[in-house]
Amino acid sequence: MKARRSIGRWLPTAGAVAVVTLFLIPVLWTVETSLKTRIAAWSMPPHWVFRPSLANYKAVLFDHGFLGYLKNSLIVAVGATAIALILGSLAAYGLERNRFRGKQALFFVFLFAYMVPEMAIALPAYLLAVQFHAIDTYWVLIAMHATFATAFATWMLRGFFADVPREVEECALADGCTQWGAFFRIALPLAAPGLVATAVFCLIFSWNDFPYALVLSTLHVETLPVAVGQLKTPAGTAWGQIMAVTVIAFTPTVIFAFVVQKWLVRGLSFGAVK
Amino acid sequence: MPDLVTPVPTPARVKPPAVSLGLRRRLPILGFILPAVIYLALFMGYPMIYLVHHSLLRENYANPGAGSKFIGLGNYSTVLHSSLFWQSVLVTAVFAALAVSFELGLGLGIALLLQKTLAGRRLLIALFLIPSMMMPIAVGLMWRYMLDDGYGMVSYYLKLVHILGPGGLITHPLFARPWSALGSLVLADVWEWTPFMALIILAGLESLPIEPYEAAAVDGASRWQEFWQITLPLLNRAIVVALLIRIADAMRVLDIVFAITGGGPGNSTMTAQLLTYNIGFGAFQTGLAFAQVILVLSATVVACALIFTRVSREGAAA
Repeated sequence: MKARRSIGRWLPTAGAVAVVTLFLIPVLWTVETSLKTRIAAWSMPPHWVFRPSLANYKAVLFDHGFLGYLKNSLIVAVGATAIALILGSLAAYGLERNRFRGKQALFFVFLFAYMVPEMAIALPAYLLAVQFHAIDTYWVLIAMHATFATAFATWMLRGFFADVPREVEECALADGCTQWGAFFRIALPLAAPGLVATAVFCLIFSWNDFPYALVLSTLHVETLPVAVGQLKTPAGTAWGQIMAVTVIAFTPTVIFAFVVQKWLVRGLSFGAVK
Repeated sequence: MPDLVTPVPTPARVKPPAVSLGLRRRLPILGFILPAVIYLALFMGYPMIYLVHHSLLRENYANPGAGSKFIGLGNYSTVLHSSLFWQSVLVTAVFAALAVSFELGLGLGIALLLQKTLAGRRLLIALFLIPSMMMPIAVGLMWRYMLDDGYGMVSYYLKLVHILGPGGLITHPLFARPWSALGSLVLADVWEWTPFMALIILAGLESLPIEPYEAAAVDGASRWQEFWQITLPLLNRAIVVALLIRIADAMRVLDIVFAITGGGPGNSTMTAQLLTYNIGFGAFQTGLAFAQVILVLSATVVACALIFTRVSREGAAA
């Protein structure tokens, strides 16, 4: 009797393991395909065991210039994240520590800025960038990614600043510290883990962004998501190479996700669920 | 892991008064908030003003010589009379409804499983979240490959069990018919975002108070009653937030459609944002594209307003 009950207790665990495995099969298949030769990738029935080769990685990184696209993606993500962290931490602190009319409206605007269909901004931004001769530069991509990243960072960091005890700051303020001093010397260091988590999310969002990059980058600053689609050529799709790029593209985000696991829920729910 | 979902009223903090701020007190506030506001006004507000302004013009950037002409609401009228626009709205709505309901159902089930998991839960959750962290365009390409009729791994196994192929449930290649093409999009979206849904619901489950369950046990409630009458109502907020975020996201879907069907076959899986892109960037009929995206945008505003009312209640307590 007791043994049967303990087996029953393990049933959900077994179920969870099964579900997670099922969800990871496509990821496994992607990694496998990236290690296959062109012929192996096209052969049916599917081969799960084969002799792996790094040819696809070599081809995309060195022959198809994906090192350059990686660099572009990285520059844009870091640039946009830097802007978002600076603007977002200031705004989040200002909003969290003060009450004034219009505060709720501001929060709504920030939420909207995050959720807006990308084309509504990307298309006019493209035409404006052409006018200002900024098209196909890092600047325009960084500037655009920093918009939704700033909006996100503000929401996310507001929750972290709310967790910083106000009393410490109030003592400092009573001792003649300005609100700026309180921000830089007390709130910011205490919210440091939140800053890291927010930065990771901003990096991932920018890294994964396709719509803005699709419209605003051509030739010189093309990022990874835009470039990967171009391996689908009329001469046939090099699936092994596409899967190699896919693996290159998701590896950093998955590692980052492990790093910020504690704050994943907060980040993914826009700071709404702690 | 996250520890709280329902706003637990914290001991009242002393909040600065909302009214009668002197300019000296207001200046630092402005100093904190203005940079972000100015930035968004410049890089988001200005393009949007441009968007609204040019949605009232007839322009074609492929033919700059033709110039632009003010036509009032002409573009809006064209869009509202275009069957392709309404079809894209319908496709987007059906896609969002199907994808999000599957994600909710599966997410809820998996969250309940994970909550009762006895060992290795942190690792399981971390692995489970890989899909939601992946680049959406890469997810699209991955499914495009796996569902391919000729050399797709999933298609192969579906044929093996006679779901796909001659004599099966689906007799044609998946991307060849509208409904199965849309189904493929839903499948990719569900795969990517179910973990997200499950994680948020799990966070909600873990922060449920114990007292109602003790009371229910005393009253002799069944597991089923417990779930429907205590767990679900208490989870309400986490679920609604996750749902709304997913709905707003699904309404602007672009990446996976771009990668998997490209809007085809015909225009049968053309979603709203893909149509905007094609009209604006493919055909360079910017006025039309702008009018169209503004109409779609209004749906986003409604979704945001709904999210906001849920979230800001928490904000008031936090």
